[in-house]
Amino acid sequence: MRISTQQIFSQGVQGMLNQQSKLAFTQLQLATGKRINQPSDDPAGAMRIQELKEGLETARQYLDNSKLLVSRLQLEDSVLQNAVGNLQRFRELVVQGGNDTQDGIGRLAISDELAELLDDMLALANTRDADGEYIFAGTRTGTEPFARVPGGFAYNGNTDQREVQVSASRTIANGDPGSAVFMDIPNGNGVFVTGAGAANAGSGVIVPGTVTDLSAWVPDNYTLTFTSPTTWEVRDSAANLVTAGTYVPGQDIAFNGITVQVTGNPATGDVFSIDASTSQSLFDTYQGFVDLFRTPVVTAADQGRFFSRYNALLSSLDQALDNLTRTEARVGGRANAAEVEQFVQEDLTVYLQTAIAQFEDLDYAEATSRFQLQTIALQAAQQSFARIQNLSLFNYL
Amino acid sequence: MGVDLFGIGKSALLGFQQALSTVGHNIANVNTEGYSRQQVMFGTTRPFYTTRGWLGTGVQPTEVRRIYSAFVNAQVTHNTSLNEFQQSLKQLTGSLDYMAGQEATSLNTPLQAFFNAVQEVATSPADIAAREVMLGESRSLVQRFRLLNDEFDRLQNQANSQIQATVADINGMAENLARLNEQIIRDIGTGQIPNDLLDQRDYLINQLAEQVAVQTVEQDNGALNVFIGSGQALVVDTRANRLLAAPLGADPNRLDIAIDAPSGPIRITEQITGGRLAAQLEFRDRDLSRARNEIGRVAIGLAIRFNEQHAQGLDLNGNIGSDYFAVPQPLVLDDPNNSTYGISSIGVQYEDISQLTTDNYRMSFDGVNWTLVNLTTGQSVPLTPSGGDFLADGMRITPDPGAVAGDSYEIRPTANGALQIDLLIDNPRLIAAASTHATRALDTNTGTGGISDVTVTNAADPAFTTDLTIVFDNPPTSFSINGNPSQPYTPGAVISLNGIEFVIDGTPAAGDTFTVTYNSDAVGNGDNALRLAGIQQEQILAGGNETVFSAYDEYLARIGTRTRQVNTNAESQQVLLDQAIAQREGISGVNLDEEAANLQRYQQSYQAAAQVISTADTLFNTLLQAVGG
Repeated sequence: MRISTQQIFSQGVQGMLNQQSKLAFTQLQLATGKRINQPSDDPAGAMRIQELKEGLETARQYLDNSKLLVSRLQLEDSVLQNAVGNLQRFRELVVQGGNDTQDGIGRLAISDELAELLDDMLALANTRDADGEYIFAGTRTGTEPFARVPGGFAYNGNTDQREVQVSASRTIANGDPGSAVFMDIPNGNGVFVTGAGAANAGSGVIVPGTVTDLSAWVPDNYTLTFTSPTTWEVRDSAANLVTAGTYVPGQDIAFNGITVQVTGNPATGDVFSIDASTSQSLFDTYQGFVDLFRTPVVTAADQGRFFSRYNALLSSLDQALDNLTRTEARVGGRANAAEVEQFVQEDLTVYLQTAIAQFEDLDYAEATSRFQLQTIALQAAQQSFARIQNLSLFNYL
Repeated sequence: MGVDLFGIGKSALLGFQQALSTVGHNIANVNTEGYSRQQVMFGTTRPFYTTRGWLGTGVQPTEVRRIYSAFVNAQVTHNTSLNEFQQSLKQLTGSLDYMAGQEATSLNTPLQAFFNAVQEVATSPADIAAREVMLGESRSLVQRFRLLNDEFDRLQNQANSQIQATVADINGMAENLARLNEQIIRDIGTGQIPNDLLDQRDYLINQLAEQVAVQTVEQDNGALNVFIGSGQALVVDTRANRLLAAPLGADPNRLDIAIDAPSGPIRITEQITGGRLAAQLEFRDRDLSRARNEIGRVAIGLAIRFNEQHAQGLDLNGNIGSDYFAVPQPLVLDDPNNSTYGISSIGVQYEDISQLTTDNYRMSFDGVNWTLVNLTTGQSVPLTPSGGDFLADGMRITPDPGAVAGDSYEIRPTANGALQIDLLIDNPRLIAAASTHATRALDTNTGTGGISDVTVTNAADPAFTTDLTIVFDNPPTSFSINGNPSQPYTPGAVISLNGIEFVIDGTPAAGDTFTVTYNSDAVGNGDNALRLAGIQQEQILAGGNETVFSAYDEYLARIGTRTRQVNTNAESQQVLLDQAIAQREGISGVNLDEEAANLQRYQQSYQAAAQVISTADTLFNTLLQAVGG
C-alpha cells in the first residue's frame, strides 16, 4: 500500500503518544497505590468499594457505640456493687440491732449509722455519669431521680430504657430505670407481708412466713385475730372466715398455700396482718428500720410489735438485696453481650478493610512489571520513529 | 510542415519542465493539511500524416490532475464527525467521572459522617456536644450537596459557552465555504479545474465536520451545498446561513441551536448530530441533567424522610420535632408561548418519594385533556386523577386553571434537590432525639403480648400527652384503656387515640398490662434518633429498592459505566477515522521518496529531450555544411 510521508510521521508520533498515555495511567496507579482512581476504571469495583466503605464506617460506629455502652454498663455495675455492699453492711447492723441483748441506747446508736447508710444509698441511686446524666433516672436523665418527700421517697425518673445500637440488627439496653432497681420491690417475702396490730397487748410475734403452694395463694389482705389467748381465726378482707385453730406457740398456721407462725403470748383481741405484697422502695425499707430502731421498746407488747415489724422489714430487705444482685447480673450479662458484639464488629472491620484493599489496592508487582514493559514499548516507538525519519531517498541523490 | 525534431524536443522540454514544477509543488506542500498530490498527465501531440504512415510530433501535458477519491474523502468527513463526537463526549463525561472519583466531591463521606453523628446522638441524647456534632455534620452534608450543584452548574455553563463557541466556528466556516464556492464557480468557468481551491474546500468541510455532521451536494457549476441536521441548508452556492445559539425553550439556562431565518429562528437542537456540537448538547441535556437529577433525588429523599421521622420525636425543650431540612421543590418551567405565561402555572408537589424518577417530563394541555410525557424515555405517563389533581411517578400535579389548548410545562422533579436542600435547625436542643411516648409491657405480664412503638398522627391533639394504661380483661379478648369501657382485642390491629397510634400483638393473658407514657423531660431518651439513624438502611428510593447510599453508589457506577462505554466508543471510532485517513493519504498524500524518484525521472527525461534538440542541431549543421560546403 502507498503511504504518504505525513502518514509515516503522524503514525510514529501517534504510537509514541499512545504509549505515553498508557505509561501515565500506570504511573498514576503507582503514585496513588490505587487500582481504581476514577469510577470508569472499574465501575462495578468502584461501586463495591463504596458499599464496603459504607459497611466499614457503620461497623466502626457500632464499635464506638458498643465501647461506650460497655463503659456505661461498667459504671452501673460498680454503683450496683457499692449498693450491694451498703445493703450488706446495713443488714449486718440490723441483725446486730435485732439481738435480744440490745438495749434501747444500743439500737439508737445503730439507727444513726443506718440513717448514714440510707443517705449513702440515696446518693448511690442518684449517681451521675461523666456527662452529668443520672444513670438511674430511666431516660429522664436530666432530673434527679430520687428525693425525700413527706412520708417517704419519690421517684422522678421514668421507666424507660435507652437502647444502644450495637449491630445492624441488635440494640442493647443502656441502663436500668431506678424504679426497677430501687423502687418496685415486693415487700415481705415477695408474696405477702406480715405485721402486728399497733394496739396489740400481748407479746406475740409473727414471722415473715413462707409460701408452700403458690397456685393456692389468693392475693388478699388477711387478718389473723386471737379470739382468746389460745384460739385464732383468719378472715379475708371481706371478713369471711378463712380458717381457725388452736394456738400453740411456733406452730404452723397454714391457709391458701401459705404458712406463718406466731410465737410469744398474744392477748385476746390481738391482730396480725397477712397482706399481699405491694411494692416498697429500698429506701422505705431502710427508713422503716431507722424508725423502728428509734422506737422505744418497754413492754412485752412493744417487744412483740418490734419483732413482728423487724421480721417483716428484714424479709423486705432481703427482697431488695435479691433485686439488686439480679439487676447486677443482668447488667453483667448485657456488658458481656456488648463485648461480644464489639468483637464481632472488630472482626467485621478487619474483614471489610481486607475486602476494600482487595478491590482498591494496586498489585504493585503486576503494576511495576507493567510499567517496565510500557517503558520499553515507549522506547521502542521512539527509536523506530527516529530510524524511519532518517530514511529518505534524498540522502542518496 | 513536416516532422520537426526541434519541435518534438521543445515540446518534451516544456512538458518535463511542467512535470518537474509539479513535483516541486508536491514537495513544497508535503506538510499542507488537506493537500492532494498532483500529477501532470501527458499526451502525444497531433501526429503528421504521410503516405507511409502517421508520424509522431511530440508530447503535450493534457492536464494537471489532482489525485483523490471522492468516496474516500466522504468517508473521512463522515468518520471525522463521528470521531469528534465521541472524543468530545469522552472529554465531557470524563469531567463527571473525575468529579465522582474525588474524595472532595464525594457524597458518601459526608453522608456517612452525618448518619454516624445521628448514631452518636442516639447513644448520648442528652449530650449537647454530640448534638452540635450532628448539626455540624448536617451542615457539611448540605454544603456538599451545594458543592455538587455548583459543579453541575459550572459544567452546564461550560457546555453552554462551548456550544456558543462551536456555533461561532461553524458560522465562520460557512462564510469561508460560501466564498470558496464563489471563487471555484468563477475558476471553473475558465475551463480548468482549480485543484488547490478544491483541496482547500474539502479541508474546510472536514474541519466543519469536526464541529457538526454535514451532508454535501456538489452542484454542476462547481459549488458545494452544505446541509446540517435533517437537511437544513448551511451553505447554498455563494450564500451562508447563520446558526444561532440562544435559549428558545422554557429554560433560560439552556441554549438552543437554531437557523437564523428571515421569518425567525428555526429550532434544530434535536436534529443536530455528530461533531463537537452534538456531543456538547448530549452531555448537557442527557449526562449532566441526569447526574443533577440523581443527586437531587438523594437530597429530596433524605430531606423528606428525615423530616417525617424528626416530627415523630421530642426535642430537648419537650416540643415535637420541627422540619430538620428544607425540602427542595420540583422545578417547573413554563413554555414562554403559554397563554398563562407569567400569570399562572401548574403546581407540582412530592407525593411519594419512592416513586420519584430521575427523569424530566412535559405536561401538556390539548384543551380537554392533560397529558404527561417522560422526556427521557419518550413514553407517555398515565395520570391518575386525585381530587382535582393528578398523581404520576410520585408527583402530585395540580393543573393550571387558566391553561388553553397547546400550553405546555416542563417538569424536572428532582433537579432542584442539591441546590435547595438546607438545614433549618441551628439550635442543638431542637434535635428531636427522644420518642414522644415510651411503651412498655409490665414485667408481671404472663402472656406473650407485646406493644409497638408509638407513631404520632396528630401532636396537637389535646390529650396527646395523656399517659395510657391498657389492662386486658378476663378472658383476654378485650382490653380497657385508662379504665374506659372495654374494646375487643384484635392482635396486630392499629390502636389509634389521642393523636397517636400503636399496635399490641401476640396473646396477652388476663390482667396483663401495657403502658404508654408521654416522655416528658426524657432527655436521655434517644429512640427517635435511633430511628433517624435507621434511615441509613431504609430503602426509600427507586420503588423501595435503594437507600440514599445505594442510590449514590448507583450514580457512581452509572457515571463510571457511561464514561467507560464512551471511552471504548471513542477508541473504536478513532480506529475507523485513522483507517479512512490512511486510505486517503494512500491515495492523495505526498510521498517524498516517490517525488524524489519522479524528480530523477523527469530530470533525466529533460536531459534526454535536450539531447534531442542537440541532435537536431547537429543534423541541421551537417546539412548546412554539406550545402554551404
